[in-house]
Amino acid sequence: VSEVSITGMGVVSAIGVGRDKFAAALKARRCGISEVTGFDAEGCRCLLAAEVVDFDVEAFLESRKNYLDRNTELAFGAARLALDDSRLRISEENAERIGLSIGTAFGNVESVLTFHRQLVEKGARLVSPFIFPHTYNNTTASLLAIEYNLKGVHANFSSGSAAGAEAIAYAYENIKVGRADAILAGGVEALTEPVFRFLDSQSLPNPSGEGAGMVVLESAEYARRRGAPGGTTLTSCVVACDARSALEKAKEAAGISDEQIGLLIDASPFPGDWDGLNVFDLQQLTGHTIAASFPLALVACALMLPESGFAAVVAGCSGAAGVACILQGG
Amino acid sequence: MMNDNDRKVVVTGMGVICCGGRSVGEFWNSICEGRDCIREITRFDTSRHKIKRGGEVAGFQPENGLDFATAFAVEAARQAVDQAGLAADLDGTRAGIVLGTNFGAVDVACDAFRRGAPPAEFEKFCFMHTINEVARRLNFRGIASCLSLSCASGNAAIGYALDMIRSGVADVMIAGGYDAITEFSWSGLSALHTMTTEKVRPFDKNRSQTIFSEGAGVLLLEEANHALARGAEILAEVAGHGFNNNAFHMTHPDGGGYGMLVAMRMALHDAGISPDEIDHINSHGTGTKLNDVAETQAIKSLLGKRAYDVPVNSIKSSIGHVMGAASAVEAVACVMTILEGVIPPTINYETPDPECDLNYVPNKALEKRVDCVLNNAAGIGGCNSAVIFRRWR
Repeated sequence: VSEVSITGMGVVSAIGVGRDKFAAALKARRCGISEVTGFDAEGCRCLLAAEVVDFDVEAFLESRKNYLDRNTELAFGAARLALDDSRLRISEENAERIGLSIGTAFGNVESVLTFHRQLVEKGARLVSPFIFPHTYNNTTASLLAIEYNLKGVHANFSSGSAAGAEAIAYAYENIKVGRADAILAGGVEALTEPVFRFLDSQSLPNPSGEGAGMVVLESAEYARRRGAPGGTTLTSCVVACDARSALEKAKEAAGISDEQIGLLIDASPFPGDWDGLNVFDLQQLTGHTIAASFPLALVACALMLPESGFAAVVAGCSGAAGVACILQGG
Repeated sequence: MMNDNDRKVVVTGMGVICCGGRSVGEFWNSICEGRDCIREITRFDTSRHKIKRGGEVAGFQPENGLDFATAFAVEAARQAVDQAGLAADLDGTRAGIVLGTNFGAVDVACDAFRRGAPPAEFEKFCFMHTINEVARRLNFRGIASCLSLSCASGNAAIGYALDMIRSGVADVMIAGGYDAITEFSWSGLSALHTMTTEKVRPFDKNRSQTIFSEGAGVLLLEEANHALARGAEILAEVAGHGFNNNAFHMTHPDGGGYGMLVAMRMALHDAGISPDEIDHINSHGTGTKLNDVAETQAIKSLLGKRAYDVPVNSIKSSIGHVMGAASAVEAVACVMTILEGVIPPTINYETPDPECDLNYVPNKALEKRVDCVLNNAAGIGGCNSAVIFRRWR
């Protein structure tokens, strides 16, 4: 059974792209929420969102792409940043041992709507065979695997707000049991008009947001062998019915008590009441970023983690899963 | 932990709805008798479509308010839970669900958005509304999840459920896949030239692409001791799984079917068995030019000379390609093969292809004792998934 390290972090968020800008924004408590600009929000209860602006995917691509959905673009940015940060080199020798596990709740809605519009307005014979492959929920995962030659364990969760959390938990388990040496794991969500309007109808306590968070999870032994940048240990990562029982189990697996948790971030759409714990309200800055929420919280925790201390990230969505992980500073 | 062999996982219930039948029995008879269940599509006006025949569940009307995709998932899950005969005092929080799908009901969501429907209806852009509908109706209150890995989704969901039960997150799980024929997916899959106006002829020299279908396949998976303690009938063991990606191309298989080979090897490794123990492979067998050659090569690489002795079938010849549900429906066939000692045929097989030269169980069911089956699947984007089912000791 391997220990699991976080050896790379990539962030595309409303408060910064890249770990350094994200870290600075966290430190300054910079808020990325403002009036919606990307689409029509007329008639919505809340006209605010945390949108990613000033992001050009071109800087993050290995090769020219004719078309990418915005959801895929955000993921490509975070993935490239995480892989660069980890200095993990993927070759034919190790490709089968390096996997991908990501989540997205709504997927490529922009492409789905474009394709649907073609069908309705032009008819079935004139739909685009180039757009259609971008309408799958797993398009982003597949394009990432192709871009970076990630031939190992491969999973794409579409389980709502919990999708990114489950993706990280599954990556953790797969490394733990030796199915992979390293896995690019995380979540992504782009805001589109229907997604924004749907979330608006759900009366979430925070405005909605978009972004992508990716980490390179790696067996500690593999990381040592290749001389990876030292960093944070993912001490435990547990799936359960809800956030609270997930955290209990994660603490038990890590062998720690509440007193040892120096910092907690709750990535749930409806964050819980964590009385007595030092809670950082990330959603006040980034909005609720749906499937990117847990991965972004994980990166934020890793960046703000006091040396040699513990931190916890939790997420729970009613009617889905609860996930909790414990991080330890190196 | 996943590979902690203290917690073995078994199948105690199954459900199917597809063009081959609305129950496991009907479906099994259709595929064993080699019926071609592909018919004219009635769900939408096909006058502006080149491909007019598909695997539609004829005459099916969803219960009030449900979309077709969700209705299929509900129906197959209900069958599986009924067969398992779970106790009324089952701890709902230990009962989870994971399904896989390609498209869910995104077409319904698009229509709702276009006509300016109340925003609550836009939840159908996300697949969890279906999973929650099934869970609510069957009182499964444990973890609820959805995996989307295109046409490899069903197997992936079964594999994920296997891991969730092994690791102790749940004792019982609904696992499978669902998808509905809609004009949205139909026009896209046609535009990719994946479909034929002819019959589906997997592994035949004159195969001319596949035909898509709809429905759902669900297994009720259960921790073995949990099943034994309540005296449940154990249908088979789920021994292992593997999923990976070719990392090659969105719509073309990689050379030599290498990605599929790796997924199948991952499944063998996870199950802790050798290739020699595989008695039968239920193939992805789409009937497309490229898949069938790649898959044949992968099977040869996996089994070596034994490849010629191991029957490989494709029930897609009878019921078409049920998209995200395909490998889940095929998983039901795998378990039935273990129970009944019958391998359903690959129908419409006429002309051998020198590049596809295995025993594909052509046109007539094969009676054979099978203890260990490998269910293989692949999908758009280079996703592969394999699951191994074994006779319960």
